[in-house]
Amino acid sequence: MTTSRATTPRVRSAFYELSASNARELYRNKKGSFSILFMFFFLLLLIVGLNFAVNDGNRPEPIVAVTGAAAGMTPLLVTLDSRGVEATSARITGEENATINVNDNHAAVVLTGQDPPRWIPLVEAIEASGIPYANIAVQDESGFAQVDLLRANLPAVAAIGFMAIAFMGTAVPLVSLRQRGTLRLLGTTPVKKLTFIAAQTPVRFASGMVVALLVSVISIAMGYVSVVGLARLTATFLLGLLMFFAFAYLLASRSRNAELINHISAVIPVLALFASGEVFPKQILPEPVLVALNVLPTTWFAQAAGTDLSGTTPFIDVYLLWAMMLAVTIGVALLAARIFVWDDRDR
Amino acid sequence: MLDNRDSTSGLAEDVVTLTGVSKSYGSKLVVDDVSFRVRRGEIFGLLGPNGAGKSTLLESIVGLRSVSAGTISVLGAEPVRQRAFITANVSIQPQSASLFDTLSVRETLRLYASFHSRPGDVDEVMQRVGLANQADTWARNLSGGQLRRLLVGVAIVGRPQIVVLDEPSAGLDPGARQSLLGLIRGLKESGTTVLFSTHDMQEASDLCDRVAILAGGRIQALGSPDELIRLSDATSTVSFLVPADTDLSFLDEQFDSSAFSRSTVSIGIRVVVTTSDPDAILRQLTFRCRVAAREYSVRQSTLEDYFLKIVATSSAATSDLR
Repeated sequence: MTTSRATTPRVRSAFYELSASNARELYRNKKGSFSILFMFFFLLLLIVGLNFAVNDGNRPEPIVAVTGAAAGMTPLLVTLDSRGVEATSARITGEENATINVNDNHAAVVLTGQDPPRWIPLVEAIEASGIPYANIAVQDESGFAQVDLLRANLPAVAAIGFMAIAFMGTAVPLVSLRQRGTLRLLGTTPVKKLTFIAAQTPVRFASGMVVALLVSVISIAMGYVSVVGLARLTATFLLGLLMFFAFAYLLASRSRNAELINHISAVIPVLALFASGEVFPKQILPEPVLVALNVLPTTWFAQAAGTDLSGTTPFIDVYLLWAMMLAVTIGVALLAARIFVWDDRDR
Repeated sequence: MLDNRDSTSGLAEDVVTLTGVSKSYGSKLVVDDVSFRVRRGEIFGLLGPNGAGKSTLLESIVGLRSVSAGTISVLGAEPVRQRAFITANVSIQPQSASLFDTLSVRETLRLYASFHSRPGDVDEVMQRVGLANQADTWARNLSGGQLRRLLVGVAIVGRPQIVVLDEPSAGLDPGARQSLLGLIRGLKESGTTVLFSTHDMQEASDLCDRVAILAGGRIQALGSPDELIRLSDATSTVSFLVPADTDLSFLDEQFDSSAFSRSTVSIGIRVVVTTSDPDAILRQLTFRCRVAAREYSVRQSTLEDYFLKIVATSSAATSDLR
C-alpha cells in the first residue's frame, strides 16, 4: 500500500491529461514499450550485421584502377586519394582488385580477383566526386550485382519501425481498452472521440521520432544523405508516421478482438514491406504488379524515403508522393474518427 | 398486485422518466414495458434477481444501450441521441468496467476530472471514497473493493446531477460498504439524484427513498420501502422457548395451525408464531402464569420478505405462462 498526502496538482485539459496518461501507461508498461521498438532494433541490427558480414568483414583494402572518360576521372582520383584509397588512372601494377569505369556521369565498379575488396568506400568516393548514387553500379567479375544492404534497406527498416509503433503500439492497446471495457466507461464521459484519439499520438509520435532520429543519424554518419536530403527525409518521416497512425486508428476504430488485431498488426508490416518494392528488385516484377504496388500508401512512403536514403528513383516525384500521403492521412484519420466507437456492443 | 406503472409525479421535478420501455436481445425480451419516474434529489433503487434487467435499464438510462420500444427522458434529453448533454450531467459506475491499469488513484481521478467543465476537487473525492491513503497506488494493485470505490469516485468527480451506480456495494467488506452508503447519503444531501441497483435489501431499505422491484423484465412493485412492506400483508415472527410440559393449547385456540410451529429441542420446545400483531402474543406470554416462556425474539417483516414473495409470485406466473 502506498500512502500519500500530497496535494493533487491543478487538473489541465482533457487532451493534456489523456496524453500524459498515455505516456505514463507506456512508460510503466515495460513489456509493451519494449515490444513497440523491438522489431525496429532487431531488424536494424540484423541488417547492419549482415551488411558488415557480406560487404566489409575480412575483405582486403581496395586498390583501384580508374578508367573511362578523362573528365570524370580527375575529381574521382582526387577524392579517392583524399580518402586514403590507393588508385591509379589505369591498370599498372596488376595488384588492383577493383576497376572503376567512369563515363557520362555514370560509374561502373567491377571487383576483381579471388578476394574482392571492401567496395562501399569506393561508392562513397564516387558519390562524393559528383556522380549520383543511382548512377553507380557495382558487380563482381561474374557480373553479380553487389548491394549495400544497409543503405538499400534503411527505408524499409524505418517503415517497419513506424508501423510497429502505429499498429502494435497503438491499434492493439486501443482495441484492448475496448475489450476490457475501459472505452465503454470513457464513452459515458464528455470526452470527445477526436480528443481521445489525438491524445494517443504524442507519446507514440515521440517513439517514432526516436526511430527517425536513429535512421537519420546512421544516414548522415554513412554519408547516405545530404543536408537538403535530410530535410526532405525528415518531412517524409513525419508524413509517413502520421499516415501509419491514421491507418492504425482506422484498424482500431471498431474491433473488440485484441488478439486478432495483434495478429494483423504483426502481419501488416511484413506484407507492406514486401509490397513496397524495397525487398524484391523492381526488375523482376511484372508491370501490372508494379502498378498495383504503386497504389499502396506504404510504397509511397518507402519510395519517398528511398529517394534520399538509397538514392533510388521514385515512380513519381517525391513531392507528389507527399501530397498523396497527406491526402490519405487526412482522409483515413477523418474516417477513423467518424467510425470510431467506444464500445460496439448493442449499437 | 401493485400497479407496475409509476403514477406519481409532480411534487418534485422528475429528472428521469421511462415510458413503456422494452428491450430485446434478438428474440429474448429482457425488459418488458417498464415505466417509472425518478425525482430530483431522491435515491432510487432498482431491485431484482440476477438477469431481471436491472443493468440493461441503468445502461439504457445513461444511453449506453438503445431501447427496443418506449422512451427514456433524462433531464429532458434523449440519452442515446443527446450524448454530449447526458455525459455532462449523468455519470455511471457500470457493473463491469475497467480503468487504466498503471494509473494511480490520483491520476485516474485527475484524468476523469479533466473531461468535465467544472469538476470536483480530486483530493476531496479521494477522501469521500476512502482512497486517500491509496492516492499513489496503481489501479491494478487495488483490491476489488477499492477498485469499486475508485469507479464510484470516477462517477462523482465530474459533479453530475444524476449518478447511476450498478451494484456499487457488491464485493465490499462491511466497513467499506458502510462508508459507501455514507457517500451515497452525502450525494443526496448535496442535491444529487442517485439511481442504483442492488441485491442487498437492507441496503435498499436504509438508503432508498423509493425502490422498484424488477422481475422477469417487468416492474412488479414500486414505492418507498416502508410502503411496500405495509402493502405486503406484513407479518412478524415471534419465537420463544418453553419447558417441554407447557400447555400450549391457547395457541391452538387463537391461531390457525399453519401460523405457528413447534419443535422439540434439548431444553424444551421452540415455538415460532407468525402474526401481524406480535405485541398481542408477547402480552399473552407475559401474563399467562402457567407459561414460563424465555428467549423471546421478534423479527419484523422486511423488504427482503416482500421481495422474495414478489419474485416467487413472478416466477410462478412466468412458469404458468410457459
